[in-house]
Amino acid sequence: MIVAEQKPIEEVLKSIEPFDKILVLGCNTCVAVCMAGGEKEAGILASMIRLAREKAGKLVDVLEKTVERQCDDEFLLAEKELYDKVEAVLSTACGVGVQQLSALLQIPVLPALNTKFMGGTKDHGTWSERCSGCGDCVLELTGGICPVSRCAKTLLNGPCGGSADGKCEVNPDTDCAWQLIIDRMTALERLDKLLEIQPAKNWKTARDGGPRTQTREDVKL
Amino acid sequence: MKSGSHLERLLDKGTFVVTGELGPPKSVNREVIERKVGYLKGMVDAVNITDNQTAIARMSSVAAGVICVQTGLEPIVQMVCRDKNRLALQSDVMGAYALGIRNILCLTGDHQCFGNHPECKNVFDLDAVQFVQMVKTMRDEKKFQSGEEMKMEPRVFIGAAANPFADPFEFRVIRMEKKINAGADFIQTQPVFDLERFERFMELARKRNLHKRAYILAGVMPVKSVRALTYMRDSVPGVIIPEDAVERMGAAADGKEEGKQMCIEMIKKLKDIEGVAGIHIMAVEWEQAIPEIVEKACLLPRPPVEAPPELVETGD
Amino acid sequence: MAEFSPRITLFCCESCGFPAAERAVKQGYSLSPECRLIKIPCTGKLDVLYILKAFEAGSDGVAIAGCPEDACRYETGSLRAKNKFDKTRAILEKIGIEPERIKRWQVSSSMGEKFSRLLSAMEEELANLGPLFPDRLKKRGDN
Repeated sequence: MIVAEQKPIEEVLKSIEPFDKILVLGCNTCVAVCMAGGEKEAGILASMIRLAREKAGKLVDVLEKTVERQCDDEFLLAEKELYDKVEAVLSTACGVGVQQLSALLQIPVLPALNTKFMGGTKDHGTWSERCSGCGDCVLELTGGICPVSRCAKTLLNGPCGGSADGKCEVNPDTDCAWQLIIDRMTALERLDKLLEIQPAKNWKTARDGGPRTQTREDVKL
Repeated sequence: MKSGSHLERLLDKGTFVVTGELGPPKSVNREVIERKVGYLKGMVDAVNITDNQTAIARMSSVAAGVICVQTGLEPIVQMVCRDKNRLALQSDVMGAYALGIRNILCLTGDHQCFGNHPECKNVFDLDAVQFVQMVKTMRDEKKFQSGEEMKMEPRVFIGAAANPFADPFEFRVIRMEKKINAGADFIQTQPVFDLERFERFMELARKRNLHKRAYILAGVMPVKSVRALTYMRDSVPGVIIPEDAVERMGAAADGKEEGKQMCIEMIKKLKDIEGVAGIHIMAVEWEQAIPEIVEKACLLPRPPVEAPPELVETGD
Repeated sequence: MAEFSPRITLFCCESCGFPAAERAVKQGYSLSPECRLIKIPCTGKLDVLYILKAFEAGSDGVAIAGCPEDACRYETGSLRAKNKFDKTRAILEKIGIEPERIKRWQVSSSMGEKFSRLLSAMEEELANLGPLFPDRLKKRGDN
């Protein structure tokens, strides 16, 4: 899922300051799972905004709605009449959803979240980065543990000198991805694979090659 | 002869070499480098010039290396993958060579979170193994990393680092082997405080015949106080400080003297380990200590610097 | 200003907080007409949103009356309530509302006297703080 967290409320309040009528639009997919921008979180945010603005003596009319996914026009267009009633939309989707909606509207669409990474649930309330979408997956070579997203230096040929007791030098709470890879490859009896030199990576398939678009002719209507 | 550098020629002859370390200033002052060279000249055979070490912005290692060349001490110019992509690294290797630099140490680089610009974007386009491979390809195949040919190649002596004190221990030798397979001519290790662990590391290296395939220089570091020692133990990743070293420093009346003495003793022990081709002394901001250490470790006099052999230049 | 009687929403656990309130009344405590008791199965079920909604709906204060932490019949309910309480307090502070407007009490069903004491103290504190939204007070007679 895409993992995000809510922006500080002060920042949100500042961004909606000029408006007297807004729509808080939740997204019920990734950001609902990571408890940042689903229906419940959008509701709390809307309530916080109403209270804060009333307390500050500047009442605001806050509409609330949550759609299944903000990254698809079909869900966004279904709420068309709501957008006409407000001066701005505060989206609790990831950065994708904000942009998807923004492209459809003539009014400002403001982000309520900071979008962070693609990750999985580690335990309740903890999510960890697992993929950086480099476009050329190496998991086959590394025992199913991604050094591109999980090594602080994106090393492809083994751990740096800062790996100690299985932890990364950058953050003692973070596992050293290469320790995990070595342990896993040892368990799989494939450690010898790690002696092979992985050549310089082709970053063209990643963000470095420019913004990416994927087109599937076979599924086009 | 790959590069004809003084360091290479000495190692080739079987001389037990001594290298030092010089951190460029956090300013434009070339006198800092000249002063430090003054302490080191005649005491070490070559000196590492650090590249924005611990991610602190300093004078470029290539520029400081050139000042070293001009001052008459052979530099080993360090370059890290943190700040430069393959374009910039190749460009620096070529530029360094053109300015008379003959030894390059290819490193991954400390993470920027440790430095004075923790908010910067890092690069890590390559890792150290790939960097070594790239320089070797430039030198031996006269090709850029992309495969494009170059007319005149950088004939540099290629170095890499090994850290026997980081984890996982067994993989440390494998990683050194990868660097040697990639083309490293010499290896410098992180400073040894835990001799027992270093001996096990060298034993594994010898089993894989790595000491015959590259020159391994053992790192040492004189420490000024027990505080500095415990700081290293607690706060510097990938360093192991045994308890008896801390106790000894703690009990010493004069920390600086004891630190030098411990360093000297360590060098003498390292010299006897099979496969150790030299010593790399990392006296960070304490270059003045090097002459005494080198002398008392019976490493003087250093062999004279001879004129480099004529390299056949082959293109433009 | 005429004497201000604060409006308080009390979220009461059906096992402890609510019976304690009933007991207080039986013991002669006179519950202010501005107090609204909401019986819930467990204060652990309470959500930040419900508390904020109570303020939005015009409460000057919110109290959560649950079981002692070690006496929750659902084991972790009171602890969950504590998390929600802490989180809500932090939110109130951030949006400029006095965090004293929310209280969390641990009362067992027999503690009628403690309940009335805590509620009286809260009413007094809120009376001193004044209404959450003074502008609304004028309209209060309407509903």
